[in-house]
Amino acid sequence: MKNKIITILIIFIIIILGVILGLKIKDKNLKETMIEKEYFVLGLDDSFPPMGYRDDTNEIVGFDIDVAKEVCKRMDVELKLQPISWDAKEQELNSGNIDCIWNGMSKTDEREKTMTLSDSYMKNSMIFVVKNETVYESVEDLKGKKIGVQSGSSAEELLAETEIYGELKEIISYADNMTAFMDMEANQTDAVFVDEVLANYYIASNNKNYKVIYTNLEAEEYVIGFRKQDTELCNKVNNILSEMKNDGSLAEISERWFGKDVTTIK
Amino acid sequence: MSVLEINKLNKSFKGKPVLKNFSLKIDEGEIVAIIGQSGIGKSTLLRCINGLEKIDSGEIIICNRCLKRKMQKDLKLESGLIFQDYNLFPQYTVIQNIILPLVVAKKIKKKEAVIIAKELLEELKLEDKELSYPYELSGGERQRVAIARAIAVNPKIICFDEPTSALDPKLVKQVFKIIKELANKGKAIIIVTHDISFGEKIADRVIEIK
Amino acid sequence: MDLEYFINLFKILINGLKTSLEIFGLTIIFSIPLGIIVSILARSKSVLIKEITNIYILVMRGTPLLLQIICVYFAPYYILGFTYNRFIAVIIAFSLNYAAYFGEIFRGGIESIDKGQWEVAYTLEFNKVQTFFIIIFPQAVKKILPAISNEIITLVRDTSLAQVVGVTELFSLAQKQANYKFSIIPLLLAGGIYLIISTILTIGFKKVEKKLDYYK
Repeated sequence: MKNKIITILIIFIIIILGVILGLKIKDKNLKETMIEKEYFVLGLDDSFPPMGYRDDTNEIVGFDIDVAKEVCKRMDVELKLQPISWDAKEQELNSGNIDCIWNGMSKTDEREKTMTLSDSYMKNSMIFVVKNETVYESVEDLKGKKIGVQSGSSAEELLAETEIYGELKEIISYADNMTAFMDMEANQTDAVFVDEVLANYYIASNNKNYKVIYTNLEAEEYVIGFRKQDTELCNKVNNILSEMKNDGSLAEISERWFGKDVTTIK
Repeated sequence: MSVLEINKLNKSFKGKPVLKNFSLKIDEGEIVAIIGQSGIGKSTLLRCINGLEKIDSGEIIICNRCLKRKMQKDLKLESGLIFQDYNLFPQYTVIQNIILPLVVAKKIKKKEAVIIAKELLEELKLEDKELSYPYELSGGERQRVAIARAIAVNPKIICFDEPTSALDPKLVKQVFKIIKELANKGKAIIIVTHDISFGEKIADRVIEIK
Repeated sequence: MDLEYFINLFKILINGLKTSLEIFGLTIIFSIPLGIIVSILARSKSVLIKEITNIYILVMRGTPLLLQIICVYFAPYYILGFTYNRFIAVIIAFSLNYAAYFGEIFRGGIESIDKGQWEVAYTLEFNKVQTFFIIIFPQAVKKILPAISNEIITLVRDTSLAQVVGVTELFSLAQKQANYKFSIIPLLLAGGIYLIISTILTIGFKKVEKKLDYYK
């Protein structure tokens, strides 16, 4: 028994020493990355149409992707797309596996603290999607109802700020928006709280009999997230984006995806 | 010439003495029967001789070489043990059971090992069981395979742990004959048995452990 | 929902299946030998080695594989400051996890073999390694084959966990196609593929079991 305890203690001490030693080495490695690399690795959860998703040839496409391609062309670096799990996006970014998160990511206070964020390039509202045949017309009508939402999304965070949050019956988090919609289709939930951009795409491309309910929340801003120390890279991308706004190429891409220029770059 | 000499052997389990100052000397071609009630340490003696148990004190001398607390490697094959439940290798055929120790431990070429094995099988009247698996054999046949496997490596001492316990009278006669023949070839034989009449009939010497 | 759509979808999923099968195959190649080592270490006479092995088994079986994949992938960065290939990380995590399970199965199998088999081999001057690989292990394998086949079929389904570090295997591709078309068909098709693989494995294992049935 004594032997066992001593053994376990020794192992724990070794592990702790290892971690401490490791943290020291890590500090030395913390420097500005990317700028001089040949690749620009864009991290995305490739299941967010129409911003970044896989089409029926398995290509990753979307509005964000087209803009990123043009930006990289102007930076003279090669664009690499790296699918990631949305829940692990901060670790992926910090560990240098990806250089940015560019995937219709909403600006939040939390993200502003942990990343360097680009200028906002698009506005987006969070909306409720309900079936056409329902009687729900306003946010008020959804009191006491079940709401579906994608877990880890800003929709999940923002739902807490809606005026009916405290009076909801249940909030159900799904791994992705599709499952959330399917559950509503099956009448398991009453509404899905989701990005307007995605909802519009979904309703249009599937001819769904759904309607949307707007909230009085302030509109979201889509931004690109970089590592905290990569401010130089962030500035570079910002400059190229306004360059693209000025020469009309950004509007052109926007028209291709949304039928009009929805971008908010100045 | 004595092949096995045991001097003042002591062995206990958890402080309970099993063998106390046990001494024994066996010559080539001699058969010794060890009798006594079950659980008294007869099997332990065989396990000590074959290196399966460490001894507390005393000495075991095999072929004039002393086996102290632990078995030296090359001494193991000087002594063979036929376990009470035989412990054949179930996944191998009869002939493979006999060849394996020859090839693996004695590093004999497979061809030669097959010749040795076939001779033994013939001697023990097992020639038609060559390709059978142990589960297909009767108790007596299994015992003979175990004997063949043990003597294939040509030990000078052969130990039997309760050789008659699982056999009917007819088969007892058969194993009796086999043991006698082995002794005639110069093997020193130790038989541990609770069957006093069998022990007295077969052995040159009977030793009772109390 | 025409035929062309299905063919296209199938092509995409086959692409993902390749990755899934790579994970599956490499995990088996690494985790089974590792599992044998684990089973030997778990029976070590040294208290230290035994305890370390037991803690390893406890951690691997006591925490979600999902977490282990994330840890194996990100831990080198947080501890040592470097990153590496995500596919390799997945293989390492899967191999370590399955080695623990295989190790426990092997240990159970080895311990179920009669002590007499070790003893008789000892008196016939087999050394421990020879005894283990020639006598004991083949007998153990026969006893534990159902447990092993269970574990391996579980592995087929577990490969879908690789998507947590962005490895696009069969199920993640199906999910993405489902998201794009907002349709459950890609998921069902993926499910069918998993089922086919599992069926093939089940039949294979039944055959091996039969083959090992030549003795009792």
